Amino acid sequence: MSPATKKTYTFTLFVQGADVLSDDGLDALFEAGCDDATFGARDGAQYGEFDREAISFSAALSSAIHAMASALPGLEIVRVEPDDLVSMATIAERSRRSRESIRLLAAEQRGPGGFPPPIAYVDQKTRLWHWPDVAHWLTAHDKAKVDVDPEAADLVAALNAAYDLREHTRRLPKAALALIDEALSATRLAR
Amino acid sequence: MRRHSDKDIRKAVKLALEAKWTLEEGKGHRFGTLRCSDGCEVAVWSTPRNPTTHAKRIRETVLRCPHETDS
Repeated sequence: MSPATKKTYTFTLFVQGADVLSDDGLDALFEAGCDDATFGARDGAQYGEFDREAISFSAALSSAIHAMASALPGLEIVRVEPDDLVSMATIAERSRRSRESIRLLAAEQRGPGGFPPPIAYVDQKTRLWHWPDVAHWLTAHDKAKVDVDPEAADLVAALNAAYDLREHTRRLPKAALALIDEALSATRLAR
Repeated sequence: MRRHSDKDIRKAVKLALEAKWTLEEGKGHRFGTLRCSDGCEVAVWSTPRNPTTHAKRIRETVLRCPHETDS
């Protein structure tokens, strides 16, 4: 096997529970090797935008998550981007196709059919798709003009679902947690 | 105001200031923090691993800022 080659992976980690942007916070992040990230905040949500070299997307992502968590006690990741919810425009951008050609594929007026259905209708003009579904479809039918990574898409979607679950279950009454356990019992997480 | 040692980062900071962002000086690894009028901020490293990439990210942060500026 040829030696694994490193690539640069770009992703953003949204975080809470620690002051990322203070002098002390940034010094700790720098010492933890996060000098390949740009830290900022948007409407009060703090984030680190990483350009990280690694042998795979999952290696880059996990090393960044662990570095941030070890640098700042109390820090929690709340969301990973690129997001797993995508508009038609984002699908076009990620597959390097035109919006019109994505529209035709989605409407099954072109291509092999079976394009994943949208999972949300935000308003009359905006539909959202689940990126992992689309990434798998594009890859299976060789319709992306650039490499899309369905495994990375699955990882990001599962992580974001886990972070969301953590947030939501904090607010749920104990009695409701049994329902969540029941839902999780059908997953590979069940113990 | 101190001058950043990297040309690309100096340009990105200049772009932010022209878009009416402010720059607060930092210490340690933080060269400073750029802020828009309402809710965006981005920290500028003194010595990022890749100054060109860092400059690009700062530039993008300024360009995608959704908030009103009174220009």
